[in-house]
Amino acid sequence: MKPPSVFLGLLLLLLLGVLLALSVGKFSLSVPEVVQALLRQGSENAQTVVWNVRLPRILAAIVVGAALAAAGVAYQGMFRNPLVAPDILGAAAGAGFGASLAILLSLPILLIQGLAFVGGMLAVGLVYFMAQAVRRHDPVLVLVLTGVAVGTLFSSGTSLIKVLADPSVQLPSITFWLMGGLNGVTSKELPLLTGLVGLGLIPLILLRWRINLLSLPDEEAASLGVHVGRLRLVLIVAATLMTSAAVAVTGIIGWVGLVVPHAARLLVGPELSRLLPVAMVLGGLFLLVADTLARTAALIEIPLGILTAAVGVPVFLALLMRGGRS
Amino acid sequence: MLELSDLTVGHRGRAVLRSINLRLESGQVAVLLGPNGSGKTTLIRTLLGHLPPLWGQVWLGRQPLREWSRVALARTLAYVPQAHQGLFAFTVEEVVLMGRTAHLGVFALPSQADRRIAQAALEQMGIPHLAEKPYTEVSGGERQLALLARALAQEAQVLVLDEPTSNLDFGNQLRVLAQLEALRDQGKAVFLSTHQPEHARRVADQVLLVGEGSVLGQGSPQTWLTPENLGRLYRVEPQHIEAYLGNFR
Amino acid sequence: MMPMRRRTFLAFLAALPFLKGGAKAQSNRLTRLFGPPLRSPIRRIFVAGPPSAVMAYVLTPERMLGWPTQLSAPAREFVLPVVRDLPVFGRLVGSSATVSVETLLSLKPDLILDVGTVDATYLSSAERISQQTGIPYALVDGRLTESVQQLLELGELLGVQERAQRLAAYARASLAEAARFRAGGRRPRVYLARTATGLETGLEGSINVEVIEVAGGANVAAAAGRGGLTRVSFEQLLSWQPDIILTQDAQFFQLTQTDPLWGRLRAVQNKQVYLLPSLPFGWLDGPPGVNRLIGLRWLVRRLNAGAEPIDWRAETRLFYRLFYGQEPSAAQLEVILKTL
Repeated sequence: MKPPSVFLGLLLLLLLGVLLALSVGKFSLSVPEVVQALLRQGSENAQTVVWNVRLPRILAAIVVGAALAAAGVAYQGMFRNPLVAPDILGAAAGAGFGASLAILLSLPILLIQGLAFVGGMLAVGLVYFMAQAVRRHDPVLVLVLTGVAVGTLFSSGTSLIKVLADPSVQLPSITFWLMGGLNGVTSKELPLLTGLVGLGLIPLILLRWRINLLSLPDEEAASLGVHVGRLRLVLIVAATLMTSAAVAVTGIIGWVGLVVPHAARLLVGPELSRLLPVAMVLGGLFLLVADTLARTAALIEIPLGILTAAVGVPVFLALLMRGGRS
Repeated sequence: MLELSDLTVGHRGRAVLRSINLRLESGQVAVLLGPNGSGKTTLIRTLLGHLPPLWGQVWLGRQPLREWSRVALARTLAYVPQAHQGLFAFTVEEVVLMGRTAHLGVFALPSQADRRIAQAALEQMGIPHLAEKPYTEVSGGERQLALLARALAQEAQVLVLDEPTSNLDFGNQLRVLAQLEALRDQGKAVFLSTHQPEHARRVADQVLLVGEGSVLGQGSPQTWLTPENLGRLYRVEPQHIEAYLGNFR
Repeated sequence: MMPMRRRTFLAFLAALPFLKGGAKAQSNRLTRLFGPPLRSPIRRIFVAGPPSAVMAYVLTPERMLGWPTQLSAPAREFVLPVVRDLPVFGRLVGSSATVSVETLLSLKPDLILDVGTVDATYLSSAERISQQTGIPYALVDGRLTESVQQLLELGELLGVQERAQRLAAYARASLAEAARFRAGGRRPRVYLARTATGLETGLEGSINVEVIEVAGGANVAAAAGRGGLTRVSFEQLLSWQPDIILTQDAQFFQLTQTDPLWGRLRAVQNKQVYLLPSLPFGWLDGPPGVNRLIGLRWLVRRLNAGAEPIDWRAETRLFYRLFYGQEPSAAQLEVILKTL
């Protein structure tokens, strides 16, 4: 299949997904009722469900899925490793720490999200500056190792907070947050989320050709005229912005940023100007399907992180086995 | 085109190779020979601007290397590494197009004109049929030709090659050598390192023998690629070399 | 072991005549003891978790060795000075247990007190810890409906029968009142909102929402099944349309008052959202201990029109004096009762 037709096909699937997701849910509405509500007619509750509950959640799932996929594309290219996820530099661990701290301090939702965002950015900032101080080794290796170390440090901080938290009140909330979920998303979060993700996406789109070259060894890319260090910094900032914004709203959702870029690469190849749009649509679709399952498959809300892992892990293992053979 | 004057190269202040002097003009090939660990790679990294010289100077055109900007340098000097596996399945054409990056604006994609240049480079290397094939799935020799095509698409006057024939089968070695000669005849200045003296004899205008931290010999291949000199360089008996390669003279 | 067994046996004999009419305190129906026999007097009590801490505090505050979690700054003001600055040891059992055996040994407690869920996991860990440390371990079934018996059995065990009986009397009255109203009539549909988003609650059978059922309400989330805590979506709430929303989270209460989305719920429109006090311990939960007895009285009145009204200022003063050892100041009362 030619890349444009893959992209259009996925876009069509996404549209179908949106329509399906709009018409299923815990509040029972028939398809005609949903259509009516979309046209701002029918019962007020139906309109509330469609416009204020389902639509924001659907859009958030798409934006977050696309953001995590885009960040995954950037990180996998930049770290020359197809098994890298957007939280490789500690963004998720930092966000988890920030959110846990806010829950421990009984702060309002906006500050929980705010601290999660700041925590994610802070963790990656810390990783970057610490890695800059190490000059003796391959910069990519140093970044990844520092990321693992700092991520572990923030995760330990989160564990400490869980120990300090009230076990019947705060601890469950922290646990739920760390498992991820879109059940609390409202139309209030959407503009800022979309804005931050869009901001992070701009450098990715503008620099899409050059990012391809980061998958070469540093000195080879440099000899082709790329400022490797500068480009990598720009990408880290952009990808971290997107990851932190996404994670701040949804809690920790793993595997999307790892698996989706891979699948997209199988569809249209690694060249970024083709890969990026396909990966983003695929990421949006993946998370939309996962979240729709999360809110409809059982009587209770299934934590989203559990579902994305349930799908992501088998795919990941399949990719590993494929990689092992070649 | 490329001139090394009293150059000492090394890492973090520790010299690996001292007192190198070399002039390489357009339409010439210089070949670097030396045993493992003699500092060939360090010298090449210095020529590419990844390592600062510890002493002396690398001149490219009329300017010292360190005064060249990254982009201007990439337009003038192209690097051909040993063919690597490649990480993602870029097509061969895309790999060659990467050579056009230094000629593109920061935010630009390769244009139709860039594609034509890439196509011509593929044709010159005799691999236009591979354009749509994934780089990760073609043979080692084809990958090396693709990287040569990339350097060609880079439209640089000077080519620096790091053991371009190692890991290739006999036929591919000959193919790469033939392409190097063609590039020389087009007026490129070519600097390459190799482990195979017979390759040096075939393409070199001058050879540079390095070992034990310094230049052991330098000049025409006829003068320097004798069994005696090679025996000294690689620490083997000259008879063995003669038995294997025949007498160069 | 011998004296212990004989005592259990004697207790059993003594209790025989009363077994039909309800167990007596000394029957130790709820308490399982592990490890060596208890040596009176018990002066040093190590509490295993938050409900145990509340129990130890209301019976014998001066014997507590520490807290399982940090008391918040405002909560400190509500408890007796003798326990305000006790160290925080963390929890002994469960997923984020932090107390090491060495810490436990170095504290030399006479008893480890653990009030809460009794199941195979907790039984085995109680047995293991008592064996490992050689410290007596009392595991007590912590259900709200068993509050009277819990207080009496532990009063007996700790030698504070008189105080325990006074507290048990309150518990008995509170539970009896609830039982009376629970018997008849329609059960109002209640949603207990947790966390700042309000979109977390307890399923049927969850200890965190136990008080709803005891007070004669119907937990709307029971529709989603049995189990522990869960997240819910707003559209689920829209379809449940609870009559009453309860919370202990001030951030969430604020949200219901300002957010138009929450305004879509009938309970919010009818001003049936209540922020219950959480100082020093929650009225509904947090922890699930005897601290809920006053919340139960309040909830019974909220859910059943027939219950005679109470002066909440007086009742709060009474409960806090009785259980927590000191009356709240006028300013503190104001804070607690503001949103009731």
